[in-house]
Amino acid sequence: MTSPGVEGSEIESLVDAARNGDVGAFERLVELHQHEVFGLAVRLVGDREMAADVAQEAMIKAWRALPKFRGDAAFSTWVHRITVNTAWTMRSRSKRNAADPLDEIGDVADTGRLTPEHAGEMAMLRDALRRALDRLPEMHRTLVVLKDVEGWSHNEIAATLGISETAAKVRLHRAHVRLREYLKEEM
Amino acid sequence: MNRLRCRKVRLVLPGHILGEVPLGERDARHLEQCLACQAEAAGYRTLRKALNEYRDEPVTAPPWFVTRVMSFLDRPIPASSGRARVRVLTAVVVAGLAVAVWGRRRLVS
Repeated sequence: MTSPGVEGSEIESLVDAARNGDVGAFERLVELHQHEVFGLAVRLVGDREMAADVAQEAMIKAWRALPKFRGDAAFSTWVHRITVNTAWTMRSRSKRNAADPLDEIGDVADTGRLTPEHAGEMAMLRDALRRALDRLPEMHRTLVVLKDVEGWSHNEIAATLGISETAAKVRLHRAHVRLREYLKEEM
Repeated sequence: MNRLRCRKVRLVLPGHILGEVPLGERDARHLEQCLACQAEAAGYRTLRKALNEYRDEPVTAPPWFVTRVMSFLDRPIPASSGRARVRVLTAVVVAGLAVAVWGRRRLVS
């Protein structure tokens, strides 16, 4: 979860400076992590507008909590955890869900060397998955995003969501079963 | 079709296809022969493909994001927030005591 092209030591120096109140250093940290934090937020809440609020609130919480950040985990891991908790709180506060899947697509989808037919097929698959994810209960969606999209371990997920590792595994299994059904219906 | 085996295989299929947990020998043999379980497995493979596509899709924060975040940071530096809180609490307690003493004097007089 590190920022591409940026040394870990540079991040550490920026975190140290920001912890001592250096606003410029924190601004650089926000610049470096904005896309990954925003991306995580979009996947968790399924709506770009709400994701911007989640990512913004997560960054502000990170700034305020910096004196308590002990550096046990990487800064990006820590900010991601804050983002997950913020998304959880904000989604609970608002029942607003994504209405238009087209609105959720990233600014530019890199289709690389795919043929137009294949690119179209992949785009349809992604859209069907978005609709299927939108139908999942909040906890199930969070588990799928953290495990299958973000690549977190069961242990990390359990610690962040405040559930046991076994509960995380069982719920993820249920989420997969439901998501497979929903995906089939949405295709 | 062995219904019990079907049930067992379907229980482990998500972990096998999405979590790359290997299938046991008997489950693997059943999967090779059971069309219903194969259809189930195909559904999970499609899900895996969709999740991979979704994961690889780039998502970019809005251009105004950093500016907006920074505009909300016009507060005291975090390191001083604890000391500031103590100062505010002290001021509130002193003010409360002063009001109490003043009120008591008024009552006595």
